[in-house]
Amino acid sequence: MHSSRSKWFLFGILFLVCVWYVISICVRSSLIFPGPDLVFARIFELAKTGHLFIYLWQTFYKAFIGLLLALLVGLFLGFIIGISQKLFELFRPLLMVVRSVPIVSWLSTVILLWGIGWKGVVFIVFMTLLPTVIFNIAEGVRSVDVRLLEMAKIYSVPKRKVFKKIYLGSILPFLLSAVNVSIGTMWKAAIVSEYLIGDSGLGLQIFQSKFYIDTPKVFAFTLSAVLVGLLLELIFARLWERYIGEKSS
Amino acid sequence: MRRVLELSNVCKDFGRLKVLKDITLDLYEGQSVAIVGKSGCGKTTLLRIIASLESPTCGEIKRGFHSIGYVFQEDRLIPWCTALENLLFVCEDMQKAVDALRLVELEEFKDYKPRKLSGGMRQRLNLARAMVRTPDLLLLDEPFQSLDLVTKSKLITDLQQILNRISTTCVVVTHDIREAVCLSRKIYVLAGHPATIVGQIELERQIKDLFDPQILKIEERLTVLQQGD
Repeated sequence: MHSSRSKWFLFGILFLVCVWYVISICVRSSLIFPGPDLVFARIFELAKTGHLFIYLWQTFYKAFIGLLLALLVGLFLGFIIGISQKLFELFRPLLMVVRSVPIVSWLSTVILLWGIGWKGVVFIVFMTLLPTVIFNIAEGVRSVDVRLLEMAKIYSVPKRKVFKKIYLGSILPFLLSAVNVSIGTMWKAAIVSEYLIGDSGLGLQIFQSKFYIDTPKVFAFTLSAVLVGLLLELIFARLWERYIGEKSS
Repeated sequence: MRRVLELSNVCKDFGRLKVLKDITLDLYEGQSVAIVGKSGCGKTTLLRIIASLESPTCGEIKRGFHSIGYVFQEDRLIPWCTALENLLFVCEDMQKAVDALRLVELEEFKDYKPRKLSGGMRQRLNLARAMVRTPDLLLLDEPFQSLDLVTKSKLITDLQQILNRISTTCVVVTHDIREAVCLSRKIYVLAGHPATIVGQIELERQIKDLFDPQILKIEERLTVLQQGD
Protein backbone atom coordinates (compact mmCIF):
# COMPACT_ATOMS: atom_id res chain seq x y z
CA MET A 1 0.00 0.00 0.00
CA HIS A 2 2.76 2.37 1.11
CA SER A 3 5.06 1.46 -1.79
CA SER A 4 2.15 1.89 -4.24
CA ARG A 5 1.56 5.41 -2.91
CA SER A 6 5.28 6.23 -3.20
CA LYS A 7 5.27 4.91 -6.76
CA TRP A 8 2.38 7.20 -7.71
CA PHE A 9 4.07 10.11 -5.97
CA LEU A 10 7.22 9.56 -8.05
CA PHE A 11 5.06 9.35 -11.20
CA GLY A 12 3.54 12.69 -10.14
CA ILE A 13 6.98 14.30 -9.95
CA LEU A 14 7.91 12.86 -13.35
CA PHE A 15 4.62 14.16 -14.78
CA LEU A 16 5.34 17.63 -13.35
CA VAL A 17 8.80 17.73 -14.99
CA CYS A 18 7.28 16.56 -18.31
CA VAL A 19 4.61 19.28 -18.21
CA TRP A 20 7.31 21.85 -17.36
CA TYR A 21 9.43 20.60 -20.29
CA VAL A 22 6.49 20.73 -22.72
CA ILE A 23 5.57 24.28 -21.67
CA SER A 24 9.20 25.43 -22.05
CA ILE A 25 9.27 23.97 -25.59
CA CYS A 26 6.00 25.75 -26.44
CA VAL A 27 7.22 29.08 -25.01
CA ARG A 28 10.56 28.72 -26.87
CA SER A 29 12.38 31.28 -24.76
CA SER A 30 14.64 30.49 -21.84
CA LEU A 31 14.39 34.14 -20.80
CA ILE A 32 10.64 33.79 -20.16
CA PHE A 33 10.28 30.14 -19.19
CA PRO A 34 13.46 28.02 -19.03
CA GLY A 35 13.12 24.24 -19.29
CA PRO A 36 14.08 21.75 -16.56
CA ASP A 37 17.34 20.79 -18.34
CA LEU A 38 18.65 24.36 -18.12
CA VAL A 39 17.45 24.88 -14.56
CA PHE A 40 18.90 21.60 -13.25
CA ALA A 41 22.18 22.41 -15.00
CA ARG A 42 22.28 25.74 -13.13
CA ILE A 43 21.51 24.04 -9.83
CA PHE A 44 24.38 21.57 -10.31
CA GLU A 45 26.67 24.41 -11.32
CA LEU A 46 25.79 26.40 -8.18
CA ALA A 47 26.05 23.32 -6.00
CA LYS A 48 29.46 22.41 -7.48
CA THR A 49 30.93 25.80 -6.60
CA GLY A 50 29.33 25.55 -3.12
CA HIS A 51 27.59 28.91 -3.50
CA LEU A 52 24.12 27.38 -3.38
CA PHE A 53 24.74 25.91 0.08
CA ILE A 54 26.13 29.21 1.36
CA TYR A 55 22.98 31.05 0.18
CA LEU A 56 20.73 28.35 1.66
CA TRP A 57 22.53 28.58 5.00
CA GLN A 58 22.32 32.40 4.99
CA THR A 59 18.54 32.20 4.55
CA PHE A 60 18.13 29.31 6.95
CA TYR A 61 19.88 30.89 9.92
CA LYS A 62 17.85 34.12 9.64
CA ALA A 63 14.59 32.17 9.32
CA PHE A 64 15.57 29.94 12.21
CA ILE A 65 16.45 32.87 14.52
CA GLY A 66 13.08 34.43 13.66
CA LEU A 67 11.30 31.15 14.45
CA LEU A 68 13.22 30.70 17.71
CA LEU A 69 12.40 34.24 18.86
CA ALA A 70 8.74 33.79 17.91
CA LEU A 71 8.63 30.54 19.93
CA LEU A 72 10.27 32.12 23.00
CA VAL A 73 8.17 35.29 23.01
CA GLY A 74 5.05 33.40 21.87
CA LEU A 75 5.44 30.88 24.70
CA PHE A 76 5.55 33.68 27.26
CA LEU A 77 2.76 35.84 25.79
CA GLY A 78 0.61 32.83 24.86
CA PHE A 79 0.84 31.60 28.44
CA ILE A 80 -0.15 35.01 29.85
CA ILE A 81 -3.18 35.44 27.58
CA GLY A 82 -4.07 31.75 27.86
CA ILE A 83 -4.62 31.88 31.61
CA SER A 84 -6.86 34.95 31.44
CA GLN A 85 -9.96 35.09 29.25
CA LYS A 86 -10.03 38.90 29.59
CA LEU A 87 -6.43 39.28 28.38
CA PHE A 88 -7.15 36.85 25.56
CA GLU A 89 -10.06 38.99 24.34
CA LEU A 90 -8.01 42.17 24.87
CA PHE A 91 -5.11 40.98 22.72
CA ARG A 92 -7.14 39.06 20.13
CA PRO A 93 -7.85 42.04 17.80
CA LEU A 94 -4.19 43.12 17.89
CA LEU A 95 -2.95 39.62 17.11
CA MET A 96 -5.50 39.17 14.33
CA VAL A 97 -4.34 42.44 12.74
CA VAL A 98 -0.64 41.51 13.07
CA ARG A 99 -1.38 38.11 11.54
CA SER A 100 -3.04 39.71 8.51
CA VAL A 101 -0.40 42.40 7.84
CA PRO A 102 1.29 41.65 4.48
CA ILE A 103 5.08 41.28 4.61
CA VAL A 104 5.67 44.34 2.40
CA SER A 105 3.82 46.53 4.89
CA TRP A 106 6.55 45.95 7.50
CA LEU A 107 9.19 47.23 5.05
CA SER A 108 9.09 50.97 5.75
CA THR A 109 9.35 50.42 9.49
CA VAL A 110 12.12 47.87 9.13
CA ILE A 111 14.18 49.92 6.66
CA LEU A 112 13.96 52.99 8.88
CA LEU A 113 14.91 50.97 11.93
CA TRP A 114 17.77 48.82 10.63
CA GLY A 115 18.21 49.56 6.92
CA ILE A 116 19.19 46.70 4.60
CA GLY A 117 20.49 43.64 6.45
CA TRP A 118 19.72 40.50 8.43
CA LYS A 119 17.89 42.18 11.33
CA GLY A 120 14.93 43.24 9.20
CA VAL A 121 14.57 39.72 7.77
CA VAL A 122 14.63 38.17 11.25
CA PHE A 123 12.09 40.76 12.44
CA ILE A 124 9.67 40.06 9.57
CA VAL A 125 9.90 36.29 10.08
CA PHE A 126 9.35 36.87 13.79
CA MET A 127 6.29 39.11 13.24
CA THR A 128 4.82 36.70 10.69
CA LEU A 129 5.07 33.70 13.01
CA LEU A 130 4.37 35.30 16.38
CA PRO A 131 0.52 35.45 16.25
CA THR A 132 0.27 31.79 15.19
CA VAL A 133 2.56 30.71 18.03
CA ILE A 134 0.71 32.87 20.59
CA PHE A 135 -2.72 31.56 19.54
CA ASN A 136 -1.48 27.96 19.67
CA ILE A 137 0.14 28.31 23.09
CA ALA A 138 -2.91 30.15 24.48
CA GLU A 139 -5.09 27.32 23.20
CA GLY A 140 -2.75 24.82 24.91
CA VAL A 141 -2.98 26.69 28.21
CA ARG A 142 -6.77 26.87 27.93
CA SER A 143 -6.90 23.11 27.38
CA VAL A 144 -5.05 22.32 30.63
CA ASP A 145 -7.05 19.79 32.63
CA VAL A 146 -8.45 21.77 35.58
CA ARG A 147 -8.81 18.53 37.51
CA LEU A 148 -5.01 18.19 37.49
CA LEU A 149 -4.68 21.77 38.75
CA GLU A 150 -7.14 20.96 41.53
CA MET A 151 -5.10 17.88 42.43
CA ALA A 152 -1.96 20.08 42.61
CA LYS A 153 -3.83 22.52 44.86
CA ILE A 154 -4.86 19.76 47.27
CA TYR A 155 -1.25 18.66 47.64
CA SER A 156 0.02 22.28 47.86
CA VAL A 157 2.45 21.73 44.97
CA PRO A 158 4.64 24.83 44.31
CA LYS A 159 3.55 26.96 41.34
CA ARG A 160 6.89 26.53 39.57
CA LYS A 161 6.44 22.77 39.61
CA VAL A 162 2.81 23.05 38.45
CA PHE A 163 3.97 25.16 35.50
CA LYS A 164 6.75 22.75 34.60
CA LYS A 165 4.85 19.50 34.96
CA ILE A 166 1.22 20.34 34.16
CA TYR A 167 1.23 23.47 31.99
CA LEU A 168 4.32 22.65 29.88
CA GLY A 169 3.15 19.07 29.44
CA SER A 170 -0.25 20.27 28.19
CA ILE A 171 1.26 22.96 25.97
CA LEU A 172 3.82 20.68 24.27
CA PRO A 173 1.51 19.23 21.56
CA PHE A 174 0.25 22.75 20.78
CA LEU A 175 3.84 24.06 20.65
CA LEU A 176 4.82 21.29 18.23
CA SER A 177 1.73 22.03 16.15
CA ALA A 178 2.75 25.73 16.05
CA VAL A 179 6.25 24.75 14.84
CA ASN A 180 4.69 22.42 12.26
CA VAL A 181 2.60 25.25 10.82
CA SER A 182 5.44 27.80 11.12
CA ILE A 183 8.19 25.86 9.30
CA GLY A 184 6.82 26.44 5.80
CA THR A 185 5.77 30.01 6.56
CA MET A 186 9.16 30.97 8.05
CA TRP A 187 11.00 29.80 4.94
CA LYS A 188 8.72 31.75 2.57
CA ALA A 189 8.72 34.87 4.78
CA ALA A 190 12.53 34.81 5.01
CA ILE A 191 12.99 34.58 1.22
CA VAL A 192 10.49 37.37 0.48
CA SER A 193 12.11 39.58 3.15
CA GLU A 194 15.59 38.94 1.72
CA TYR A 195 14.27 39.76 -1.73
CA LEU A 196 13.03 43.12 -0.47
CA ILE A 197 15.52 44.19 2.23
CA GLY A 198 18.13 41.45 2.54
CA ASP A 199 21.88 41.71 2.09
CA SER A 200 22.44 37.98 1.61
CA GLY A 201 20.67 34.65 1.10
CA LEU A 202 18.43 33.05 -1.50
CA GLY A 203 15.98 35.97 -1.67
CA LEU A 204 18.75 38.41 -2.58
CA GLN A 205 20.11 35.98 -5.20
CA ILE A 206 16.65 35.70 -6.78
CA PHE A 207 16.42 39.49 -6.84
CA GLN A 208 19.86 39.88 -8.44
CA SER A 209 19.26 37.14 -11.00
CA LYS A 210 15.97 38.80 -11.95
CA PHE A 211 17.81 42.16 -12.21
CA TYR A 212 20.31 40.68 -14.70
CA ILE A 213 17.44 38.89 -16.50
CA ASP A 214 19.02 35.49 -15.72
CA THR A 215 15.70 33.62 -15.61
CA PRO A 216 17.23 30.08 -15.44
CA LYS A 217 19.08 31.19 -12.30
CA VAL A 218 15.86 32.64 -10.83
CA PHE A 219 14.23 29.26 -11.47
CA ALA A 220 17.25 27.39 -10.04
CA PHE A 221 17.16 29.35 -6.77
CA THR A 222 13.38 29.07 -6.57
CA LEU A 223 13.46 25.31 -7.10
CA SER A 224 16.24 24.96 -4.49
CA ALA A 225 14.17 27.02 -2.03
CA VAL A 226 11.10 24.89 -2.68
CA LEU A 227 13.05 21.64 -2.22
CA VAL A 228 14.68 22.76 1.03
CA GLY A 229 11.31 24.08 2.30
CA LEU A 230 9.70 20.73 1.57
CA LEU A 231 12.63 18.90 3.19
CA LEU A 232 12.28 20.96 6.38
CA GLU A 233 8.53 20.29 6.49
CA LEU A 234 9.17 16.59 5.88
CA ILE A 235 11.75 16.35 8.68
CA PHE A 236 9.41 18.02 11.12
CA ALA A 237 6.43 15.95 9.97
CA ARG A 238 8.47 12.81 10.78
CA LEU A 239 9.29 14.13 14.26
CA TRP A 240 5.62 15.01 14.74
CA GLU A 241 4.51 11.54 13.61
CA ARG A 242 6.97 9.95 16.01
CA TYR A 243 5.63 12.09 18.87
CA ILE A 244 2.01 11.24 18.03
CA GLY A 245 2.93 7.55 17.62
CA GLU A 246 4.64 7.54 21.02
CA LYS A 247 1.58 9.15 22.60
CA SER A 248 -0.90 6.71 21.15
CA SER A 249 1.20 3.55 21.64
CA MET B 1 -8.12 10.92 71.36
CA ARG B 2 -7.40 14.04 69.31
CA ARG B 3 -10.23 15.45 67.19
CA VAL B 4 -9.12 15.70 63.55
CA LEU B 5 -12.29 17.14 62.05
CA GLU B 6 -15.45 18.74 63.38
CA LEU B 7 -18.34 19.80 61.16
CA SER B 8 -21.17 21.75 62.81
CA ASN B 9 -24.40 22.45 60.91
CA VAL B 10 -22.60 22.75 57.60
CA CYS B 11 -24.72 23.57 54.57
CA LYS B 12 -23.91 24.22 50.94
CA ASP B 13 -25.91 25.95 48.21
CA PHE B 14 -24.96 26.40 44.54
CA GLY B 15 -27.04 29.45 43.70
CA ARG B 16 -30.63 28.43 44.27
CA LEU B 17 -29.76 24.75 44.43
CA LYS B 18 -29.48 23.60 48.03
CA VAL B 19 -27.18 20.57 48.17
CA LEU B 20 -26.33 19.99 51.84
CA LYS B 21 -27.92 21.10 55.10
CA ASP B 22 -27.11 20.71 58.78
CA ILE B 23 -24.22 18.31 58.40
CA THR B 24 -22.71 17.62 61.80
CA LEU B 25 -20.03 15.05 62.38
CA ASP B 26 -16.83 14.51 64.34
CA LEU B 27 -13.79 12.55 63.36
CA TYR B 28 -11.05 11.42 65.73
CA GLU B 29 -7.46 10.45 65.07
CA GLY B 30 -7.07 6.95 63.65
CA GLN B 31 -10.82 6.62 63.03
CA SER B 32 -12.18 5.54 59.68
CA VAL B 33 -15.70 6.60 58.70
CA ALA B 34 -17.76 6.09 55.59
CA ILE B 35 -20.50 8.31 54.22
CA VAL B 36 -22.97 6.51 52.00
CA GLY B 37 -25.67 8.00 49.85
CA LYS B 38 -27.20 7.72 46.42
CA SER B 39 -25.33 9.05 43.39
CA GLY B 40 -25.62 12.83 43.11
CA CYS B 41 -26.80 13.35 46.69
CA GLY B 42 -23.86 15.61 47.62
CA LYS B 43 -21.24 13.20 48.99
CA THR B 44 -18.44 14.56 46.81
CA THR B 45 -19.42 18.14 47.68
CA LEU B 46 -19.09 17.26 51.36
CA LEU B 47 -15.65 15.77 50.76
CA ARG B 48 -14.61 18.85 48.75
CA ILE B 49 -15.71 21.06 51.65
CA ILE B 50 -13.57 19.01 54.04
CA ALA B 51 -10.62 19.34 51.61
CA SER B 52 -11.14 23.15 51.37
CA LEU B 53 -11.94 22.89 47.64
CA GLU B 54 -15.39 24.38 48.34
CA SER B 55 -16.48 26.78 51.05
CA PRO B 56 -19.61 25.97 53.04
CA THR B 57 -22.54 28.38 52.69
CA CYS B 58 -23.15 28.18 56.43
CA GLY B 59 -21.96 26.24 59.45
CA GLU B 60 -18.56 25.78 61.00
CA ILE B 61 -15.62 23.51 60.27
CA LYS B 62 -12.73 22.93 62.64
CA ARG B 63 -9.78 21.25 60.98
CA GLY B 64 -7.26 19.57 63.23
CA PHE B 65 -5.15 18.19 60.39
CA HIS B 66 -2.18 19.65 58.53
CA SER B 67 -2.04 17.54 55.41
CA ILE B 68 -4.52 15.49 53.44
CA GLY B 69 -4.37 12.75 50.89
CA TYR B 70 -7.21 12.62 48.37
CA VAL B 71 -8.14 9.57 46.32
CA PHE B 72 -10.23 10.91 43.46
CA GLN B 73 -13.09 9.17 41.66
CA GLU B 74 -11.11 9.37 38.45
CA ASP B 75 -7.37 8.84 38.92
CA ARG B 76 -6.20 12.39 37.99
CA LEU B 77 -2.70 11.12 37.17
CA ILE B 78 -0.49 13.29 34.96
CA PRO B 79 -0.60 11.36 31.64
CA TRP B 80 2.89 12.35 30.41
CA CYS B 81 4.63 11.50 33.72
CA THR B 82 5.64 8.02 34.85
CA ALA B 83 4.20 6.36 37.95
CA LEU B 84 7.22 7.48 40.00
CA GLU B 85 7.12 11.03 38.59
CA ASN B 86 3.43 11.25 39.51
CA LEU B 87 4.36 10.56 43.12
CA LEU B 88 7.39 12.89 43.03
CA PHE B 89 5.03 15.63 41.82
CA VAL B 90 3.43 15.74 45.28
CA CYS B 91 6.43 14.61 47.34
CA GLU B 92 10.10 15.55 46.80
CA ASP B 93 11.42 12.59 48.79
CA MET B 94 12.49 9.83 46.40
CA GLN B 95 12.68 7.19 49.15
CA LYS B 96 9.13 7.93 50.29
CA ALA B 97 7.88 7.77 46.70
CA VAL B 98 9.52 4.38 46.14
CA ASP B 99 8.15 3.14 49.48
CA ALA B 100 4.63 4.27 48.51
CA LEU B 101 4.94 2.40 45.21
CA ARG B 102 6.07 -0.68 47.10
CA LEU B 103 3.10 -0.33 49.46
CA VAL B 104 0.66 -0.59 46.55
CA GLU B 105 2.82 -3.22 44.79
CA LEU B 106 3.68 -1.06 41.81
CA GLU B 107 7.43 -0.78 42.39
CA GLU B 108 8.31 -2.65 39.22
CA PHE B 109 5.98 -0.37 37.20
CA LYS B 110 7.62 2.86 38.38
CA ASP B 111 8.72 3.84 34.86
CA TYR B 112 5.32 3.14 33.27
CA LYS B 113 3.11 5.98 32.17
CA PRO B 114 -0.54 5.84 33.39
CA ARG B 115 -1.93 4.80 29.98
CA LYS B 116 0.16 1.61 30.17
CA LEU B 117 -1.32 0.65 33.53
CA SER B 118 -4.63 -1.15 34.03
CA GLY B 119 -7.61 0.58 35.71
CA GLY B 120 -6.88 -1.17 39.00
CA MET B 121 -3.17 -0.27 38.88
CA ARG B 122 -4.00 3.38 38.15
CA GLN B 123 -6.31 3.44 41.13
CA ARG B 124 -3.57 1.90 43.31
CA LEU B 125 -1.22 4.62 42.07
CA ASN B 126 -3.90 7.22 42.92
CA LEU B 127 -3.94 5.70 46.41
CA ALA B 128 -0.12 5.73 46.65
CA ARG B 129 -0.09 9.41 45.72
CA ALA B 130 -2.63 10.12 48.44
CA MET B 131 -0.48 8.36 51.05
CA VAL B 132 3.05 9.29 49.97
CA ARG B 133 3.26 12.28 52.28
CA THR B 134 1.79 10.29 55.22
CA PRO B 135 -1.23 12.62 55.52
CA ASP B 136 -3.11 13.28 58.77
CA LEU B 137 -6.38 12.71 56.93
CA LEU B 138 -7.10 10.48 53.97
CA LEU B 139 -10.17 11.28 51.85
CA LEU B 140 -11.48 8.67 49.41
CA ASP B 141 -14.13 9.67 46.89
CA GLU B 142 -15.79 6.62 45.31
CA PRO B 143 -12.34 5.04 45.05
CA PHE B 144 -13.46 1.86 43.28
CA GLN B 145 -16.04 3.23 40.88
CA SER B 146 -15.78 1.85 37.36
CA LEU B 147 -13.69 -1.15 38.43
CA ASP B 148 -14.82 -4.73 37.89
CA LEU B 149 -15.83 -6.79 40.91
CA VAL B 150 -12.69 -8.93 41.06
CA THR B 151 -10.34 -5.92 40.88
CA LYS B 152 -12.52 -4.05 43.35
CA SER B 153 -12.44 -6.95 45.84
CA LYS B 154 -8.65 -7.27 45.54
CA LEU B 155 -8.15 -3.50 45.96
CA ILE B 156 -10.42 -3.39 49.03
CA THR B 157 -8.40 -6.16 50.68
CA ASP B 158 -5.17 -4.30 49.82
CA LEU B 159 -6.57 -1.02 51.13
CA GLN B 160 -7.74 -2.64 54.38
CA GLN B 161 -4.22 -3.98 54.97
CA ILE B 162 -2.62 -0.64 54.14
CA LEU B 163 -5.01 1.32 56.37
CA ASN B 164 -4.41 -1.10 59.25
CA ARG B 165 -0.66 -0.76 58.78
CA ILE B 166 -0.48 3.04 58.68
CA SER B 167 -3.56 3.71 60.89
CA THR B 168 -4.48 6.96 59.11
CA THR B 169 -7.68 8.85 59.85
CA CYS B 170 -9.90 8.25 56.90
CA VAL B 171 -13.19 9.39 55.31
CA VAL B 172 -14.66 7.30 52.49
CA VAL B 173 -17.66 8.46 50.48
CA THR B 174 -19.41 5.95 48.29
CA HIS B 175 -22.81 4.93 47.00
CA ASP B 176 -21.81 1.27 47.43
CA ILE B 177 -22.73 0.04 50.90
CA ARG B 178 -20.51 -3.04 50.51
CA GLU B 179 -17.45 -0.87 49.93
CA ALA B 180 -18.37 1.32 52.89
CA VAL B 181 -18.69 -1.54 55.38
CA CYS B 182 -15.43 -3.10 54.23
CA LEU B 183 -13.45 0.09 54.80
CA SER B 184 -14.91 1.49 58.03
CA ARG B 185 -16.82 0.50 61.10
CA LYS B 186 -18.73 3.76 61.44
CA ILE B 187 -21.10 4.58 58.59
CA TYR B 188 -23.11 7.75 58.13
CA VAL B 189 -26.10 7.80 55.78
CA LEU B 190 -26.59 10.89 53.67
CA ALA B 191 -30.03 11.36 52.09
CA GLY B 192 -32.74 13.87 51.22
CA HIS B 193 -32.95 17.09 49.20
CA PRO B 194 -30.96 18.95 50.37
CA ALA B 195 -28.97 16.07 51.79
CA THR B 196 -28.37 15.67 55.47
CA ILE B 197 -27.15 12.87 57.71
CA VAL B 198 -30.25 10.78 58.37
CA GLY B 199 -28.62 8.10 60.46
CA GLN B 200 -25.47 6.23 61.38
CA ILE B 201 -24.51 2.73 62.35
CA GLU B 202 -21.43 1.37 64.05
CA LEU B 203 -20.30 -2.16 63.31
CA GLU B 204 -19.14 -4.50 66.04
CA ARG B 205 -16.34 -5.88 63.89
CA GLN B 206 -14.57 -4.95 60.69
CA ILE B 207 -16.04 -6.72 57.65
CA LYS B 208 -13.18 -8.41 55.82
CA ASP B 209 -14.48 -8.90 52.30
CA LEU B 210 -17.19 -7.87 49.85
CA PHE B 211 -18.84 -11.31 50.00
CA ASP B 212 -19.25 -11.53 53.80
CA PRO B 213 -22.86 -12.76 54.50
CA GLN B 214 -23.25 -10.16 57.29
CA ILE B 215 -23.17 -7.39 54.69
CA LEU B 216 -26.72 -8.25 53.57
CA LYS B 217 -28.16 -7.42 57.01
CA ILE B 218 -26.20 -4.17 57.23
CA GLU B 219 -27.24 -3.29 53.70
CA GLU B 220 -30.90 -3.73 54.69
CA ARG B 221 -30.51 -1.47 57.73
CA LEU B 222 -28.74 1.22 55.72
CA THR B 223 -31.28 1.04 52.88
CA VAL B 224 -34.11 1.52 55.39
CA LEU B 225 -32.28 4.57 56.78
CA GLN B 226 -31.77 5.95 53.25
CA GLN B 227 -35.42 5.46 52.27
CA GLY B 228 -36.81 6.59 55.61
CA ASP B 229 -36.07 10.19 54.73
